[in-house]
Amino acid sequence: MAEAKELLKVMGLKKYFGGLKAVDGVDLSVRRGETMGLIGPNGAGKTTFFNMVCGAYTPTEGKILLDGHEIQGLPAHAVARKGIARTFQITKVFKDMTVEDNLLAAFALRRAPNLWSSLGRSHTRRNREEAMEYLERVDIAALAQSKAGDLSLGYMRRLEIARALALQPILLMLDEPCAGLSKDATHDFMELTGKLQAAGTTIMLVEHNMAVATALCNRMTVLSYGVKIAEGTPQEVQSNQAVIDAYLGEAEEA
Amino acid sequence: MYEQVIAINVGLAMLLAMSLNIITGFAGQPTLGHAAFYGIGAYTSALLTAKAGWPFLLALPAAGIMAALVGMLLGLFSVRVREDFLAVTTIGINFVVVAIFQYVEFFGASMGLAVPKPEMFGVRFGNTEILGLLIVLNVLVYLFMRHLPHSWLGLALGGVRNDEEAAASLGYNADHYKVFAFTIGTFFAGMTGSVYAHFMGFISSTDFSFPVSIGVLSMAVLGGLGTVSGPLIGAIILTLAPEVFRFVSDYRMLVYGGLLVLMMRFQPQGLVGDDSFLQRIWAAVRGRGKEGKRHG
Repeated sequence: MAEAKELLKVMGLKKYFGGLKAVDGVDLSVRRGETMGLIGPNGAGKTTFFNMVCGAYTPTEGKILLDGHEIQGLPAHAVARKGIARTFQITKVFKDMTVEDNLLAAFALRRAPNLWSSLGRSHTRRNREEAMEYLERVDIAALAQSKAGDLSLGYMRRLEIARALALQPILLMLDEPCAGLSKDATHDFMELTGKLQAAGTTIMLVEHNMAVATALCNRMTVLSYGVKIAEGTPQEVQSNQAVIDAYLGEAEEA
Repeated sequence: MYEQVIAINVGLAMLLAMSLNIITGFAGQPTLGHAAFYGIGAYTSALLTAKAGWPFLLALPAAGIMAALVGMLLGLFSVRVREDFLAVTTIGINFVVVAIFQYVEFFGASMGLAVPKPEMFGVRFGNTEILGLLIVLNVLVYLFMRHLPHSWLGLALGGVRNDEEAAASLGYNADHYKVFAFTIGTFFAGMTGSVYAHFMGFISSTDFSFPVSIGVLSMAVLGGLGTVSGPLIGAIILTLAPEVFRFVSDYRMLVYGGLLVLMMRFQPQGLVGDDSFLQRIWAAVRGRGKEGKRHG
């Protein structure tokens, strides 16, 4: 019954942009309850891979199975409805809306599934209370009535995570959640992720920062030039010669 | 009566500004050809009552539905069009619609169309009845606009307006909501056109030309796109201004154009939008009031 443990199974995924093989036949699986890190040097194809799973890009070839169902090629909104929630490398909160409204917007998927039901009232007491619970989980409840665009980057990231959690996803995908964050904010994020992991959330994480990835992930997949060069626990991956070469090569170039 | 006619013009302008606000303010889709849908409603209602003998009571919603159908088509056609291209597309639509009214015999061509005075429940409509109907419609549309920010639709449109990719990540099909916004906004504009046609008793293509669209946009921008009450305030100010100030009436287009330029540069949120100068003055006055109380 090893199969049933795999929540996400990606087989032979490819994405070509003209002659550029951004992702060239990657296999990957994410087991229920684990945190899988997708790492690699700049331009390795991490974000392209991530965007295919989320429906932002259509794969050139390959399969993506979520809970046994094929989801490759579905548009992003359909992928969200299948249970994958994501955050963005460059935070995409709804800036001119309040923090509370940002959160409530994520409830529509469950509470107002079609156009006609969208005419219903969203700001009911029950929904607003539930929204506060999600905001409390990321410690920004006090900012509920602030404009999301006025938040600091760290708080925007938290809001984005709260919004993603409000979808009640079966898989949470985080795209470089610590990029641009201060040391303190990174620490806070790692604490928050720890709480989510303890609650059993399955997470896939794209991370450039090896230290953050090592601390958070149960397993890692390393990409370089669009192909998988290693997979395993953080310890296994770190001692892998191909990985060391890939990262050292980048350091030399930089 | 002069005052009644002014009040009717204000009522029509408020409906148009609110309907535009759904599309441009809430959904964030620029539209510069709103008068086309106003015209489609007016011509639909005129033809149905004058040529097909429909009662006004049925022609009014039919005008809205006809405008909404065209609006929905425009929405479906333009969901893939980027914002600046959409603005240009809607200008084109305005000119095409006006040209059809102007050149096609069926629509009266350059002669225009005579529209019978409506009757509802045995009452022949004079200006008083038209004004009453406009008040009812304004209240209904206003209630809808007030509901919008606290509805799923309002949140969805907010998502689409801010970031379509992020909205999609929350399960929203942005295209559906854009088309829905177009459909609702043009429906209201079509109904307004019907009232206009029956109020005037005569319509011609120039009543719905591009400058009318710019006028409606100026009203919404002046009051505040995306706000609930802003477009109403803008509609009142810009409809009354030409009556009060002679020069505004003489240089109407200059005033509309100038307002658009100045508002976009200095107060893009409009008179009642967040942190507008009016709001700041209001906050200052209230703050001083409170201070006064504390000391007193």
